[in-house]
Formats: sequence, structure tokens, C-alpha cells
Amino acid sequence: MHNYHPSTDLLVDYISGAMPLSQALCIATHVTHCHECQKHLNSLREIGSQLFGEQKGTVIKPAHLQGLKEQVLSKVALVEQTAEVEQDMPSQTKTPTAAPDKNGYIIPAPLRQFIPHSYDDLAWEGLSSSFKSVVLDKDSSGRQITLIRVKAGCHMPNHSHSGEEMTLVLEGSFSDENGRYHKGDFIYQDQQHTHKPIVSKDAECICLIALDSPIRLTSFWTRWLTPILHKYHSGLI
Amino acid sequence: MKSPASIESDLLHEDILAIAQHRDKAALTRVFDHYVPKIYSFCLASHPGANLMADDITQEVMIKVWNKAHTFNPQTASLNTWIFSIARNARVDYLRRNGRHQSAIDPDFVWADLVDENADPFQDAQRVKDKAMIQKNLAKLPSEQRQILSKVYLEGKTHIETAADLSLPLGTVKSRVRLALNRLSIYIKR
Repeated sequence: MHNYHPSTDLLVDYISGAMPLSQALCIATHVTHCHECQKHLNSLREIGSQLFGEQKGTVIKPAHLQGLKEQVLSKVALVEQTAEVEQDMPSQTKTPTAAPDKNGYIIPAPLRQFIPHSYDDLAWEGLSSSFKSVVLDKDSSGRQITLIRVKAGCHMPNHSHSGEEMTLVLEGSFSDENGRYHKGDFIYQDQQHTHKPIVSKDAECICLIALDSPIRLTSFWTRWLTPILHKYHSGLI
Repeated sequence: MKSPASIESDLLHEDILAIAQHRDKAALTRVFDHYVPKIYSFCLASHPGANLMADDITQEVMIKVWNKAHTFNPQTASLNTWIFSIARNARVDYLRRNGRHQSAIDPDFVWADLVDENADPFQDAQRVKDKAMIQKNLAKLPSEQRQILSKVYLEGKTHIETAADLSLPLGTVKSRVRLALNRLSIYIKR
């Protein structure tokens, strides 16, 4: 059972579709294994469904409506002719359960767009012997989704950031001044926080992080390293 | 005796079945006539005046309805919920491809169907009760709470964007949403 979940406002922003995609991917990954949040989301989705259904509906000019209808019907006819059938939406029950990789890790369904089989297949960049990272996606506003991989018992670099950060523990566990976080736990932090996380001694830790601005290293020995890191890993550390 | 809305809903369920089983274009036309004005409204709610966007998304949704009719399961979600989910994903996808901040993240991976793997008759019955409670109490929500829900769900604004739009503190927006959820008997302990 998870102890750390997205707050109510984040769940609402997620289910409505309002949330930025990088953040929504983080929430979706938490929800994959969290029955409690799935249950809440089913209720929250119902609100959207009712509001949608209760809309009066735009009065569309009959000629325009007819034109739209004809376009839809002709596209549908094309689909039938060429026998192109779209694949099912990936869903929790329809996506076949992925096989574990050689570490015993199973990639959560929402991440399989970027990681079909194994975390080991990604182009990890080692910032130190104990800490590796890889950016899965970055948009033009600077929002990005990143994986970090830290060896057992090691500190993650002390860092602060100027925006929102969402962390999802994919494998292993870590702790900081505020608590201990296990697989599936979701942690939200805003610009007020500076963390000093340390990975537990028994296993490596892999986390998914959605950021809306670059992380800044804060500990003394890394201050001179930061400009170099920014040069080679822009938007990360 | 069933209400007109309920009868109409049953008929539309049968239309989806007819599309799935017999590729029935007349059935698609009936679903189109009922839902397209709502899909259009949904698009214009987030982008007033963007008729070309509404046209594109409307077509995208109806083609998805045609292609995925066989995936509709009335046991797990109503037709409204199914179409709302498709429309929500289609709007996000359109903005992802055409907006200022293009992303490679595919919305269909982010908002996959929420199906409880352990679904049982008790949970299905509970879901039906919850839905009836939400429907009944949504109509009675104070206007300032309903306004926030409309901003988030129909206009696609986050809590932060809604607060900016309405010139309200973020805390007020969060609290109005929580109060609204309590009135809808949705209790999230966080």
C-alpha cells in the first residue's frame, strides 16, 4: 500500500485533461498500481462526464453540420475500404502484462511509449559513479520528464528548483528529511523545497520526475560543477 | 416508467452496439446528431471562436467512436463517460500537436481506461449509486462551486489557471473544489 498520493487538486487536474502532459504521465504511472486513487478517479471522471453531457450543445448551422457529417462518413468509408482498424487504446487490462526484465522490473503501462521493455535499454548519462539520468521527453516550454537511477545507499545530489516537481518512485526506495518513500509513492514539491534525499541500502532506486524548470545543485562541492552539467545536460542537473 | 433521457440513452447504447457488430452507418449518424453539438461546445469552452479546431476534434472523436465501438462496455462506464473520455483525449492531443508547447507524450498512454481489475458486482452496484448521487447533487451545487468545476473540466484549466482567470487565491479555488466534492459525496482523505 502506498503512503504518498497525489492531492485532490492534482487528481482533478489530471482526470479533467487540464494537467500538462509530463505531470499527467507521472500521475498516470502512480495510478497504475494504486486502487485507492483509481477509485477516486472513477468518481472524479463521473463529474466530467455529467458536465459534458449536460452542456446545452452549440447550435451549429445546418449546412456546416451536414458538411461535417459527410466528411466523417467519407473518412469512415475509407477506413472500411482499406481495412485499417485502429488499435485499441492502451488500457490497464487490455495491454498485455509486460514480462519482467533481467532485474525483475516491469515497466508500468503509461511509460511503455518511451520504455517498451527495460530501463537498461535507455541511454543513461552518468553524472557520477552512483547517479545516472535520462530525459524521456522535453517540450519547448522547458517541461520535461526524466528518469534518475541511484545506487543503493547513495545520496542523490542536493538540489533545489524554481518550479513544481513531481516524483514517482518506480523501483527501490529513498528517504529525505520529510519521510521514507517506496515503490509507487508520489511526491509533489514546489519551489519552497530543497531536498537531501538518500537511497536505502538494500537496493538501487529508480524514479520518474516531472519538472517544469531545471534543477539546481546546491551543495558546496557541486556549485562549480553546475555550469558544466548545464552545458552537457541542459534542463537537468 | 423511464424518462425520455433514459430511453434516448438506451437507444444510443444500441447504436454503439450496431456500429461495433454491423458497421451500421445510420447508427453512427444518430450518435453524431446527439453528441456533436456537445463535443463542439466542449472544444469552444476551452478555445472560444476556434471553429476549425472544433471541426477537427469533432471528426477525430466520431472516427474514434467508429473504430473503438467494440471497446465500449456499459458495465464499466456510461456512454457519456466514454465519449467524454475520447473527447478529452482528442482535445489534449490536438493541443499537443498544434499548440505552443509540442510534446511527444501520447495522451492515450496517459489517460488509458480506468478499469478496476478486481471489479465485482458489489463494486459495480456501488458505482451506479455513486453516479446517481453525483448526478442528483451536481444540480444543487452553489454557483461558485459549479463555476470552478466547469473551468477545470469543460474549459480544461488547471486549479492554478482557474485561480488566475477568476482573480482568486489558489487556496480559495482548492477549497471550493473540495467543498463541491463533499456535496457530491466524494471524500478523498489527503
